[in-house]
Amino acid sequence: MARAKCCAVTVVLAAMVLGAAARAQDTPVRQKVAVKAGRIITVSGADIEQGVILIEDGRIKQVGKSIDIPWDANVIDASDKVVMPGFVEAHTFQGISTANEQVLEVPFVSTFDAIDPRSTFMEDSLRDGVTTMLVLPGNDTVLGGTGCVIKPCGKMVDDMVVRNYTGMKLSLQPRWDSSRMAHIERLRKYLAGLQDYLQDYQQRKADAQEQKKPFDEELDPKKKPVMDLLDGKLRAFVYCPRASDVVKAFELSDELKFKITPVLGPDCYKAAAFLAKRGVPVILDSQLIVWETNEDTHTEEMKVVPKIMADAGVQFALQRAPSVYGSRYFWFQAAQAVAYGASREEALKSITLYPAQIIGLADRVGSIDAGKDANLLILTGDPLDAQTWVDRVLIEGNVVYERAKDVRLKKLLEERKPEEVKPPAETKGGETPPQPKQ
Amino acid sequence: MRAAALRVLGVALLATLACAREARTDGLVAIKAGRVITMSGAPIDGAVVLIQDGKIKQIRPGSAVPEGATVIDAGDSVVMPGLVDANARFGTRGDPNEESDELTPTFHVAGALDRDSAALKRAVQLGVTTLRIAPGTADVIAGTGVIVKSAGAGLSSTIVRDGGDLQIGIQDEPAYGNDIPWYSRPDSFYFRQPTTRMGVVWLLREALFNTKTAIQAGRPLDARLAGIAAAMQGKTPIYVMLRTAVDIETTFTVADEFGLRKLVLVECTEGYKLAGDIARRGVPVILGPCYQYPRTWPEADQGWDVNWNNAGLLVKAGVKIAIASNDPDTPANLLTWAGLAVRAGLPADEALKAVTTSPAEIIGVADRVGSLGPGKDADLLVLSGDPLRPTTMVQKVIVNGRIAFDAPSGASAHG
Amino acid sequence: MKAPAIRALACLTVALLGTATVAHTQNLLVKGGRVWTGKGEAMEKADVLIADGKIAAVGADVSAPEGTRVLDAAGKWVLPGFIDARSHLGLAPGELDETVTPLATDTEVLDALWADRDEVRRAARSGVTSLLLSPGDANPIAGPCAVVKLGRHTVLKRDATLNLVLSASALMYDRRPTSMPGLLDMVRQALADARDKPAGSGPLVKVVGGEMPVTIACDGISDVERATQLATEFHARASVATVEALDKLADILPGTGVSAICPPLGATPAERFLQAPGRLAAKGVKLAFSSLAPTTDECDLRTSAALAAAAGLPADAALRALTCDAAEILGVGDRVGSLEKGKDADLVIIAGDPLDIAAPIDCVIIDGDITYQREGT
Repeated sequence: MARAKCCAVTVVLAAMVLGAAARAQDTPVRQKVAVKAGRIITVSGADIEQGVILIEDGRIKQVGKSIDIPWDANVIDASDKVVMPGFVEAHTFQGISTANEQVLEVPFVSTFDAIDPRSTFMEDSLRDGVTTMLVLPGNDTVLGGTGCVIKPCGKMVDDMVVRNYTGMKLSLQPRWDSSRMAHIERLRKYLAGLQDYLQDYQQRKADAQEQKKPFDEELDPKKKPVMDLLDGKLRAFVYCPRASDVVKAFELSDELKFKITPVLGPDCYKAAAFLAKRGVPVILDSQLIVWETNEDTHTEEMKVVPKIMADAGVQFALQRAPSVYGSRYFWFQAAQAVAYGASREEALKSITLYPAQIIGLADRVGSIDAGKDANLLILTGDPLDAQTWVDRVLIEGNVVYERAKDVRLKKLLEERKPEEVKPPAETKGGETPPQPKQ
Repeated sequence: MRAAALRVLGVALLATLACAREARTDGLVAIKAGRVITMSGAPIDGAVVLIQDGKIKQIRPGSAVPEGATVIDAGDSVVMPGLVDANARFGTRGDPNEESDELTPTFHVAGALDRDSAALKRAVQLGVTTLRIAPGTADVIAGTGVIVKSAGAGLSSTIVRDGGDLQIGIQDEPAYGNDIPWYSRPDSFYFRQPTTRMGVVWLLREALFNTKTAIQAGRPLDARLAGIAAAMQGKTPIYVMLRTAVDIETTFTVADEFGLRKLVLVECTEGYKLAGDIARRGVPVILGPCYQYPRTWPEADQGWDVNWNNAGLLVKAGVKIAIASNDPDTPANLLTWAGLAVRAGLPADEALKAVTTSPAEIIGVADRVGSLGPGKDADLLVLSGDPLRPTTMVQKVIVNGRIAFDAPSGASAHG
Repeated sequence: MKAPAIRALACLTVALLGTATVAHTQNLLVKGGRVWTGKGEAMEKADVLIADGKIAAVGADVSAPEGTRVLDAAGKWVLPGFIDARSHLGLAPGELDETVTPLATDTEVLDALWADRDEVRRAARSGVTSLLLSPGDANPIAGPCAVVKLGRHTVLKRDATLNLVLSASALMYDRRPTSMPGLLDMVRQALADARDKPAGSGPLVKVVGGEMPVTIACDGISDVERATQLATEFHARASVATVEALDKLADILPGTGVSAICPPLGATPAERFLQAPGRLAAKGVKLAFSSLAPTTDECDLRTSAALAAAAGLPADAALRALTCDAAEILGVGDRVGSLEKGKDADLVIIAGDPLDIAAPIDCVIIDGDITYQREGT
């Protein structure tokens, strides 16, 4: 009896060790970290001045103002810095080799197979504070494939995966040689084809059973993602270039009964009232300011999309743009929204908690709350200040980025020794080199 | 009867006097602001800016406004001078280069100005009140720019100065397009020099040499040579479009050869590499956006050694810089770019100078714009907060004393 | 149609055009209509006598010689024929410009006229009796342009106007000018040469100083401003034709002496375009209408006039823009544009208010010949 118990305990202990090791990768087992922060922006609640975040096993154990720090915790002193949750991007098609397959109906492909861990995009994302991203196929498709939620650190894709098989990309943007009618017809046709296939499969199965014949044909695995979409197990992320496409997207989802998250183009601010009625959170285009020419007055009008959405009561998540200017940073996008009237709280949520909810990982990321992954940004100042840099990034309790050790960034801001150049010559006119012939 | 008549007369007299008083303060506008950044002294917390006849009359600390003035109460907003974009490439129609010739010193981009263009209307809303619109970069000697206000009632009130400068290119770009594709006409004027960078410099040298020789020989100068002569004699600034350190070195070599003064380097992506020398020569630099990927990165689509702190390093060495849009077709949000430059290392006060007083000084209109003071043009912005914060929006833009842009109330744009 | 056939037809057409003196079939008396002459008040009930292709008399109770055919115009309006101030009718769409040389002051687009086209007949039925045959806008300077009668396709005035273009349409990638400043330079130089060295400058000499009117095609408001500056500098008799900047002309043209040629006012442009003619007239700017046909489908000038009238252009000003003011702008006011003794007998008889598009055109007379008569009248 005692020996069995001893064995059992050993087995359990061993399992715990192995399990913990498998989960925490390079981290020693039961690592404790304490972050002392000058200010903690939890996003889910009020800010905490001079607070502490306790981390254990990669998860936030406790957040508060006066917390006893365990003697065996690694202490990160950020008492002159601001700590907030890592940014979450609910939709991106960067960091993969090609955004879309040439064939328009490929629901069975997955971005998991295309993610490039060594892409500069991953490095930049970490540098700019993004800790969770849902990578989906691009917009040039009908049924583009399924997505994968990743963290932008790791040498192999397996190391980066947070959750695979998340979201199915659809797009209502017709290809250059097609019309909207034909584009949607393709979607309907594919789905009708699926229904036919399933009916046929069931029929053959029933026939075999009736005839007492063996039936070991499996359902075509390529059909599974769309079946999961129609069964509500996968959410559709539908790209809508125009406001009218938003209405169409909901028509389709009502008719075919699948859950959708609209991924909006810049024009879709015109559908704000419609979206408010439907009450579904949306993902805004990276272009937050749209200029429209008013034909009657011949003036240029600035439409600020996050403000229009906020006024209409639509909850949104922001995206980044692959550009060289401000919109490449999440903090800049949020700051733009605030500049034109969105509340600071809503703006910060639109780059943390709301995208986390959209991708179904709000239990793990998007705010600093006990139980969630310890994905934290240690910032040199307020997140919505242009002079703030990301000093360090923690993902699941590990420091995965340190600005002090960021070689590439250093080179980008590097001071060079002034070159040796001769002083300006006197203008005499007689020392000119050989002249061109007239 | 007489008393009544006298009373009527009295009332009439008083009315007339009142009208006269009103006429004196007629057109006086007073802007009450929480903070006025004049760029010609320390910022003033709590002040009133008085404007009359399109000029700034006075800036008074406090909140008292003169009787009869139209009051714009900007609450605790920040007032600063309208932004000056020293090198803009929008607001024109058609090709910004006359491509039939590589040397077009008499090209006046003012002839292409479209003051009603969408780009200028957007520039106003982004806070740009004065711009120097530059010719394109496809020619070796491209011609002259035009300094305009971003809003105005006609060409005459929009144009501040037409010409009075010269733009040249010392880089690869003028050589593009001169290799004739098979489908072009055999007599096409693109079949010409330069096809390489050395050809670009050769052509420039030849033009300068011919001008110099003509001046020395006392020959009358035709319009083309006259345009180059004025620049050579230091009477007008020479804007040099260039990117790499090698281009900068070549520029200085040519400048020394021909005694060129009043150079202004434009774009100057690798300027930080020669910051000391640029400073010693007293040459100002107009920068464009600097957050591109450097050429060593896999995503780079150009061949320059970018440094995000180009602006900061140049200023540290003592160079006067301006931050301008440089981008064809699109007005830039200069306050955003100034903020990003600060992020990379440029001191905040230098960043503000780089979009107000420095560009005004470089292009030669600092007596009128770039700072707020009595007698200066009433070009100013009302902002919701600190200019370099990305959470600040432009609420009002005033050009020549008139409101050119007024953001819809509620500090937002409507849907 | 085969190429030789086209050429033959073109030769024939040109030959026909050469004959200015055509025998007129008969004298006409247009009796008892509401006559709007273009000079002074309209006459409620008056007659117009036509003899040898000219107007012989206008007034109440005009006596006609024996054998005069009478056209009963009771209850109808009688007006001068409409004048299209800028049109390419009769030209094949691909033949509007000779672009190799930018300054094409020797090529006459008249040489390309093929008058036997459907749209020419349609125009005549809509009341247009003469039009300015203009080249396209791909040359900075092109001309001279002729004023052509639609009836027997005679030439009213051969070297009537010149066409000057300050618009991006005159820019070409591989021919000077490639840019607007280059264009402006070229035009200014050509005008300066015409002023300073008249010999060998061709028709431009007549433009400087105002002998020959010039139409300046512009894109935007800044082009219009530059056009007026040029007109003032070279003392030219200019009119501006623009689509984009039409609504802002009233802010620029008054006081410059430059007239305006309105493009066709289509079915649903912005309100500010429809109001433009009214604003211009109120500020004393002379107006004319144009069809730009066949590059547009709208050869019916009456529609434009009616739309403008509905948006504020006074009826009288609208009718003048269709007739006598257009004639003035084109420099043919001595021959057409009003119903006066000695002028060409170009008339339109409308069964109702001319600015009511529903009122049909009953009869169009050009040079004294009935070119069109509605069935049943």
